Amino acid sequence: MTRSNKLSVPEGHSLHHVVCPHDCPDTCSMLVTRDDTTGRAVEVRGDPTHPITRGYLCNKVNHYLDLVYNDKRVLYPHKRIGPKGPGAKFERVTWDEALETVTDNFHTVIRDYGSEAIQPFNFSGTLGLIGYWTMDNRFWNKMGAARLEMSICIHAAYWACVHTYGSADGPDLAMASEEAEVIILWGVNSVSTGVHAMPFIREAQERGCKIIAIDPRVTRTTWMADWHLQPKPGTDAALALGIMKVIVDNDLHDKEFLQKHTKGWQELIEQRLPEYSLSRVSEITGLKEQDIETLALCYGHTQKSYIRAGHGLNRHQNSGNLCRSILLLPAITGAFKERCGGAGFGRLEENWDPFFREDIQRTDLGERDKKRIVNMVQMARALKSDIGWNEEPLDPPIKHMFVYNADPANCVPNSGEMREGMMRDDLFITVHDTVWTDSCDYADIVLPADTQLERTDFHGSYGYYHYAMNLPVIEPLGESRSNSALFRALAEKMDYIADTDIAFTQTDEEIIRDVFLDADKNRLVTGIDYETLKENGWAQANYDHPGRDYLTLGWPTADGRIQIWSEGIAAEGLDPLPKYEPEIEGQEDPKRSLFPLQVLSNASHYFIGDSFQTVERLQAMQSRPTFELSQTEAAARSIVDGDLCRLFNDRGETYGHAVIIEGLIDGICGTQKQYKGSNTLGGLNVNALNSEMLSDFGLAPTFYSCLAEIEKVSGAPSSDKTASGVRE
Amino acid sequence: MSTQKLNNAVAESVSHVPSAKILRPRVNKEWAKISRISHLSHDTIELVLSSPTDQTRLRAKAGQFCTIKVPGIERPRAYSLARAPEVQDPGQYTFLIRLLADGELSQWLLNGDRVGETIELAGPLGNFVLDDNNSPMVCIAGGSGMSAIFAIIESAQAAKSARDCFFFYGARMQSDLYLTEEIEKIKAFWHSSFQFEFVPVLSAEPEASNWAGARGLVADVAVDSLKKLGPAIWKDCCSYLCGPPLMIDAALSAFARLGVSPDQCHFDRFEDASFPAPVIDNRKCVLCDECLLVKPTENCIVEVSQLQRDSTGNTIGFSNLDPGDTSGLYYNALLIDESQCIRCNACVDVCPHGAISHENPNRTSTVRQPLP
Repeated sequence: MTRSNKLSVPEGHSLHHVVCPHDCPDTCSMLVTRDDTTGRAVEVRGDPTHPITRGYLCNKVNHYLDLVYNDKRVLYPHKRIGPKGPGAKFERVTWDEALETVTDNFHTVIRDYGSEAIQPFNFSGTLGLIGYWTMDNRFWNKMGAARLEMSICIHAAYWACVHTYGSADGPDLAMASEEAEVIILWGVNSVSTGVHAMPFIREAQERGCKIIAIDPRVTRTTWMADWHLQPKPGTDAALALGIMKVIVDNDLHDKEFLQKHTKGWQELIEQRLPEYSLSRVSEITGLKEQDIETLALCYGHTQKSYIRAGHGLNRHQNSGNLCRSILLLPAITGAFKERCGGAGFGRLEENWDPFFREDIQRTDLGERDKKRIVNMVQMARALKSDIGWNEEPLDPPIKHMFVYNADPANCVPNSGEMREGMMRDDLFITVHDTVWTDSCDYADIVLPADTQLERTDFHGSYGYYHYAMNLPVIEPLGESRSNSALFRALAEKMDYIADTDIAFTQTDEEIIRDVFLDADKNRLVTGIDYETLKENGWAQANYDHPGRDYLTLGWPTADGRIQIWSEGIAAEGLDPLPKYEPEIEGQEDPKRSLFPLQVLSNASHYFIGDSFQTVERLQAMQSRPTFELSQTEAAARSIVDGDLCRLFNDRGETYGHAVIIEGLIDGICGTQKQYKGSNTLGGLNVNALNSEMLSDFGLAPTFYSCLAEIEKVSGAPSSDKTASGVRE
Repeated sequence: MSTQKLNNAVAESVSHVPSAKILRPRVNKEWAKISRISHLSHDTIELVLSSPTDQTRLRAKAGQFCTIKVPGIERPRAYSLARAPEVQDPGQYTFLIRLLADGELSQWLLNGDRVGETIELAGPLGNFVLDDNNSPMVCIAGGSGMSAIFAIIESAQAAKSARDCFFFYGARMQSDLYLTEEIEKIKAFWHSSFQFEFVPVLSAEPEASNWAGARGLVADVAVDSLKKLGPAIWKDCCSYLCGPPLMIDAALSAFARLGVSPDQCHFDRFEDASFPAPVIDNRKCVLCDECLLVKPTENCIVEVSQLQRDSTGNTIGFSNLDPGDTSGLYYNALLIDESQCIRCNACVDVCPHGAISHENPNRTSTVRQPLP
């Protein structure tokens, strides 16, 4: 009926820029309306001026105020009274008492075991770079606490990129959509995990660009593609190398580009590609030879191509090589010559990574780089069995685990043992969170965290080239505190202020202005004016900075060339050329005779990791975990749609409801990652089945290398009505 | 888990089924009492509502519209606010209602003394609001399209906007004109350094009458006047068009011929049930909830688990399962129920993925096979 781009607010209200802080490539700019009389936020919507947000939000963040004003919010500090574990009881205490209890324990542990026995555990509950990675690290660096290898998400793809291109990413999907003739959505379900990509994809499609989805699953994203190919999971490296072989066999590779800009291309062509004949790749991937050839020719016939790959690919045991093989495709065709050409899992390496540096984290405050490190993927064994890095014993054991921005009881693999480890009587646990998570049940002290409406922070998108700044819109609810306020308070309690110059007294705004926006340390912030950023809420990154002209200046690698032959990978004792190796607990593992289904635990459409599981609408829309099965796999087990099922392997079991998906390939089971254990029958989510095995390189988790069997639960009611799967 | 333990857990799980209801829609509901009904002309009445002070206010802006639902009539009707909210007392809302011989709401309003009756309001709806700049305003209204345009010029005047305003109002005859004195008042208080012109245009006034003003179709007169004013005005202007679809379409195409860019044109088409309802293509839908947040009535867009079709594949009905009892993503399809749709097209405007359109066939795919 109407059309106007103007957003204004009625009298007595004000409009505020807020950055979506959740773990998603889009990093949206939200506009929040505040009722200035009550001081409450009353409406949230997408910023129409933001180039990626374009005036709308996803189905999660559209309900952000239900998270802010949520009856499951932790509003005050609490101390546990009585035993640990599900159903634990707490009583409210003052902030002073809570901090005193936590720091008393710090002192005791440091005295008796050393500071290494204090283990921070944190991840991406907020992607605000102050809350995620700044004041906390200054505190832990000063203390000399144990380090955490934060590799649970995208480390295999990250290292695949760094070993190949250095810290260089090409265009983002929005740029690619302007000119690309082929876009491959490889293992990515953007509808559910970054919905702002979809209009760009549709616009490209309407322009005549071919959209190809490669995904063993059937998703709302694959439905929108012109062509959907379904290789067996974990076989993508073979597919990528097979595509390269067809391209080379048809003389479609850009020899001039390869000669000038890459290292090892002749070795690749002579030594590696001959192994990837159409017949072999077809056998490995389950795709038809004809389809592989068509795909390769379609991709190889143009340099105006773009590959957007998804994070799930990086969760296989063979994911380092898998991701690297995909990332190398544009180097073969010379797609980098085009403004729209490239491939990537996001823009992490270039747009985000420059903020992880010593002047931000203040590594100079102590000698933490000499302290022990625990991989968060292997936290279950660390807590339960005192096993540390490289299988070495953890001596002393972890005595205090300090949890923030994370829900380790649900998010780590082998979650059954993780919870057993968290039950240890000699382990003190502090949890700082916005809502009562399952991890709180194991905590000695629970501290109230704020939401994005209540704090100052700075964001770099890991999907696109923009930055954003967030300022508080409302007063913190209850006695909640931001991460940076918490760690400042802890620093004061620990007497760290006096001898650490401005490390703990610098305000959040000063850190953004003076440290984050330092163009000498990150050329992409060149030209971003602090006051304009503050006023506008977001700013474009300086993508066209002359220092990014890799075609002229060379890539940021050891010799300026793209490393098809990678010394970095050779140094890890691995084959320096990309290759496909069957993954452990994958399609070719003999263990499939016992556990025939490969479990892919994907992001739910309704949650972002652990976040939003307390928002009632979203909880209702994903009211129970589901197990996606092909018609054949379901029929073989007499499972019908809606049946309550038990998914199990030699490590654990979990429960959920079958959903039979037409067109899904056999041999897999799709389910949701990080579903709240306390909302799952049996109390444990799919991570009870996952192992702590790491990827071939990159130290990444192997959530998708998980074989299991499924059975219908007999003796339990299984109709739709009886299976909400939610307990309170 | 043992069978007994599992049975206990299942039993426990059904004790709380979460609700999929959207708790904070962008459209709010309010209860209001009719405080005044006055005739402005032979076929138009002014309806003034006041709401009690203790409820959440509709946070409306001039130009937006609300739905009104009266007792005994199932389907709400859409009406634009006829006064700028910032100049009215808080909780007061004014609407212009065109009386129609066969109109359910017209009959209800005329049937006895309705002052004091409580009715249901929902809003605000629409993005038809004043731009935040000082370029000349060209307003065109027809019939009860006067409402939104009056609110917009009242709002601009109250904000002391430093801009010219040319307001063309189309009616049939002199007896159809109303609010002329109020418009003269706005003119009197308009920013003294800027022009305010009000041009009523009559299309069916008898030739012999005393009418000395403009005659013809309002869109034609407006475009002719713009031509005379010259490109300095039309190149830079913001146009606000409100009223019958035919008038708006005529004005938009004439503007386009003149070289006025579509970005400069804001419009609010008063469509009724004779216009087709938009259709959602569930294969394009990304389930972002944007349309559900702006739906004006409870059941115009429904979240369904199964669509029923006739032998040709057209959608003829739906069935529903509470999302809390199923697995949302797989069974969740959205359907616009044509019988409940009030043709506000708010959903078409907000859909980021072009999934809602009048062009979609009424045999929209669902993304999953129905439940067995």
